[in-house]
Amino acid sequence: MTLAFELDCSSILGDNSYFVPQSLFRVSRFSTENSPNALAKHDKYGYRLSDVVKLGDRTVKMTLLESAAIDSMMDMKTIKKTTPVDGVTELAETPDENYVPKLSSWITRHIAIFQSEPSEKTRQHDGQCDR
Amino acid sequence: MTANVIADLMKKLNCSDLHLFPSGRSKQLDRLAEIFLKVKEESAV
Repeated sequence: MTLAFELDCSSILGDNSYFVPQSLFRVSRFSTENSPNALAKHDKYGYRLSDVVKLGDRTVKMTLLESAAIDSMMDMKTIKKTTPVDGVTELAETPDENYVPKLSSWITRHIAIFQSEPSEKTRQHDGQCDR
Repeated sequence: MTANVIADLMKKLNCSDLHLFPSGRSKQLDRLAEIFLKVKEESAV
């Protein structure tokens, strides 16, 4: 009973947290040439072509919004950098430490990345983010 | 929407939510839980 009440409070107060271990593995591919599908750009390596994250036996190809969720909360350290093709860079990264982010903090950081106000409606249209 | 994006991603990665309380608020919630349970018990009598 107490546990159920605690869980209810947690939901009401937005204090759900996620444990994101350091074993999270992210592979991002960038190109210096503009691509019509690239929606994000790295200052140094250019347009992001793909972004995949792995944890245990799970592999998720991330959307722009999901990539932003990772970028907004975690500092990643590069463990490998390769150049499979000229002008294309592939980065393999892991979080710099174990993270236990609160969902409420994560939401506000994610919103801040898009420089939108929490009250603004955000919609996805053709893979792009409109405000 | 943002909450759904994060929750979906964590679900896809099999990261379950831990329902942790931030430091400093835990004791207050424990106390709140005690009061809540007491009120429930008394109202049941």
